[in-house]
Amino acid sequence: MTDGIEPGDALDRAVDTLRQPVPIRPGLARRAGDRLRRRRAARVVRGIAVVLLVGLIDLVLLRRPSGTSVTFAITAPSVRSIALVGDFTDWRSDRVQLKRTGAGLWQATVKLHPGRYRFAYLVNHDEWRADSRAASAPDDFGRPTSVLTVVAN
Amino acid sequence: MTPIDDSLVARLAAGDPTALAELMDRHGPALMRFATHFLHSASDADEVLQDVFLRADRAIRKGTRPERLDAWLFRITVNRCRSKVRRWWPIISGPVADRAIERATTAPTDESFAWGEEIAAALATLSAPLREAFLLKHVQGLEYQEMTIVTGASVPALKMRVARACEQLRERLKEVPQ
Repeated sequence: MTDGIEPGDALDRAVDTLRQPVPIRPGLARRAGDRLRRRRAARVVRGIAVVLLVGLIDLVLLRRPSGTSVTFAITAPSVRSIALVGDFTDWRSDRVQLKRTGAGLWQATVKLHPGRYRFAYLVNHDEWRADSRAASAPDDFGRPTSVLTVVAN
Repeated sequence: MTPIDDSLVARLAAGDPTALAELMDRHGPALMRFATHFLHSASDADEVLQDVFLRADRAIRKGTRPERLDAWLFRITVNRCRSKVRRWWPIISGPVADRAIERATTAPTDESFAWGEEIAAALATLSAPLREAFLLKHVQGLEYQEMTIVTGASVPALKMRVARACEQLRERLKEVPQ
């Protein structure tokens, strides 16, 4: 195997032919400029399409039902604070605080999507109470919790 | 880099609107020859060249300062041509390859064949890496060291590709009446 090209052989003549200049169509700079403008226009169109798509997705999400208002209430005349904890608060006690509405009644309203939820009240930051009007279901640690099912409107 | 290329790069970087056309005039012919022979299509080569110069212009405006403008432009051209071809195997479709296959399987009887067509047909039967290496070495006249910059391949690999390309071309052209 050799890459030597013998003078006068077919490959040598082929190389001579291939070395001939290949003309460039006049107006390469103009065509390149047009190409650039087309690309920029396409990029703008793509950008607009993305914005519209995002807007559409937003619209769809915004129009999604925001949930059913559920009011939680418990009577506890002599307590300082009551927090609502549950699946919908990730069992955190700093998300929903019940407010005293008079005569020992505490209330909070939250929006919930259809589904089955477990919840409980945390009284004075340390006492765990279930809702006496809801079905009960102790949690994994044996604490009293209640079950609430929200159905679609 | 030559003083002329230096000046062109500086003018492009400064946004001189006439510099791009001058860059095309100066380096376009060599790139056009390579792209045309590599792609077997003047219109594809024209598109590649537009792309190459737009990319070069943008890169220089963004601060790229190539050590050697010609080798850098060749590297962009080779990459754009590779993208056009997309696959690293012999082209087995298209009119040029059809002719090549036909000629490889039948004895030529037409005495008025075009020599240039025969060469194009023979080139079309080479795999893209072999064709690329052959054109850069023997048609563009690049040194192996320069070819490593342009292609990213090693010198031994390039030497092997050039040798194989020559061998295969010699074999194909042997069948062509002189």
